Amino acid sequence: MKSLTTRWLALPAVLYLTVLFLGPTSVVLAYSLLKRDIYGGVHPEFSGNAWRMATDSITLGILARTVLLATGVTAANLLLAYPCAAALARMSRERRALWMLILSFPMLTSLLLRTYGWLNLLPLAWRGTLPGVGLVLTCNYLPFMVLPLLKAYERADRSLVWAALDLGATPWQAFWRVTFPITLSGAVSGAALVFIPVSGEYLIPHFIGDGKVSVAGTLVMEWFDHRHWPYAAACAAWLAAVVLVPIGVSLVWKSRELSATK
Amino acid sequence: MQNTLEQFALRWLGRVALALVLAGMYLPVAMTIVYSFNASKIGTVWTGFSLHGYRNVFAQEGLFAALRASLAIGTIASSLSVLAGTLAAMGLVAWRPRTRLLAQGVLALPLVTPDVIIALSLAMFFSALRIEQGWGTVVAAHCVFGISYAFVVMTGAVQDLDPTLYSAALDCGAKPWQAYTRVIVPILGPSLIVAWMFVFALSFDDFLITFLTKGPGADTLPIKIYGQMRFGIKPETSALFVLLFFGTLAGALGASRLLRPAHVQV
Repeated sequence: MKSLTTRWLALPAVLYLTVLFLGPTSVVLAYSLLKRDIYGGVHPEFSGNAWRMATDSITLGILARTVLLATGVTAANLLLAYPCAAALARMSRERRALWMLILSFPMLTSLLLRTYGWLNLLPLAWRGTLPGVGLVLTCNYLPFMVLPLLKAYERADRSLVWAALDLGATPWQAFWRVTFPITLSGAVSGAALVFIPVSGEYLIPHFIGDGKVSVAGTLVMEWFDHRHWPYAAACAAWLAAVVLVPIGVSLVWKSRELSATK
Repeated sequence: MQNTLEQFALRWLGRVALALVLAGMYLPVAMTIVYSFNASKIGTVWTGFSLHGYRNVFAQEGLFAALRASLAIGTIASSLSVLAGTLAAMGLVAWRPRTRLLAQGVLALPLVTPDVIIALSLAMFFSALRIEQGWGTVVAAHCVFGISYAFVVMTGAVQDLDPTLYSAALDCGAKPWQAYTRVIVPILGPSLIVAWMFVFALSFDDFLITFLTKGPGADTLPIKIYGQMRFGIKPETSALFVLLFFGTLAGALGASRLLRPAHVQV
């Protein structure tokens, strides 16, 4: 039997990520249950100390702030990206391709230098505040929302909206009753693409937050630096739990969509 | 049309949103360009127009050593990742559905894991196994997200591939490796290039994962900039990135001429 693909071709990648992704994440879970070694690392001795610290009100408050920030940034991105994607979808093919290039290009420039640019742009009063961090994060993640939404718009049948308008729907009604449901899959994947990295973001909260805005990413890095590895590991496990929610939602969404089209 | 006023308002809503998005994305890039012409040696404040950032940029030994390191790591990590990711995308087709789903999950998981978790877990992993950190660990770490990215991009391309082409090539007398290099690889070509450039860009700009997996003194470009952030980015650093920016722009425009935009899947 001649086959294009033979099974073992997939083995190197699967083995690699089993060892260097699943392995390390299990090490994190294990380290969160061990005793702290003052010089970094851990003592091979069980301790519930890190999780006692990671379930106190300070840690939980920081996690709540992280969720609030990521939700706010995702919502702001949706609000800005929808009219954008709608405007882009109306353009000709060539102009749209040019716009997509324009919109993805800043992602190729250094994130650190863009963050530095924001440090010089933001009024001093906005630095070290949660809204300031949110603003910079929103601007940074725009392409992750606009591009999936635009794809959804391209897949959608434009004539449905015209039909709705012809039948007397106001543009507002046409959006909510027709456009929104048929582009929802793009919005869901865009939301996951924004929410997940934002909730683990370190650089932007660190520099724009000026040490005053503590979120999950800065918390993990700080305690890794302070050589309290078990606590840093426990915080990373919390972050993973936070991120599992949108992953679960988008997976359920995808499988429902798949079974609906069958 | 009865809704002309509302449609007029909608059109303007779209324009305003596009303008806001452009401003939000390009203002910080513009700031880098402006500050590359700063006369100040340190760069925290604007002291006047000067070209000395551009005059001195090529004399910055440390900066160029970091640039070379970033280019080398990006090239190696991206090539290995695209190779492994593409093979995985082709091989998984032959797996049984249940194990395939499991393997796909493992391969795609790093994409939906925040960088800080990947960085921390690798640092703890290397420390637990007493592996000394250096350039090798950085490349190994970049391959984690690289393979994941390449796999997802290439899975789409492999699904569109017509499997009969391969057997047709064999029937016409090609050896299996000839069928791969003469038929399959040219068809997958544009997607391979896109996947390679994506992974390279991610690797080139990565800070967190490099920061926690690098050895002492081993600096990539983002690590170098991170060190300058507190005391102000030097005009020379900004100048280097302005040159890189316009270099990439020219390259991207050239590439978009070569690859028709319709084939590029972002």
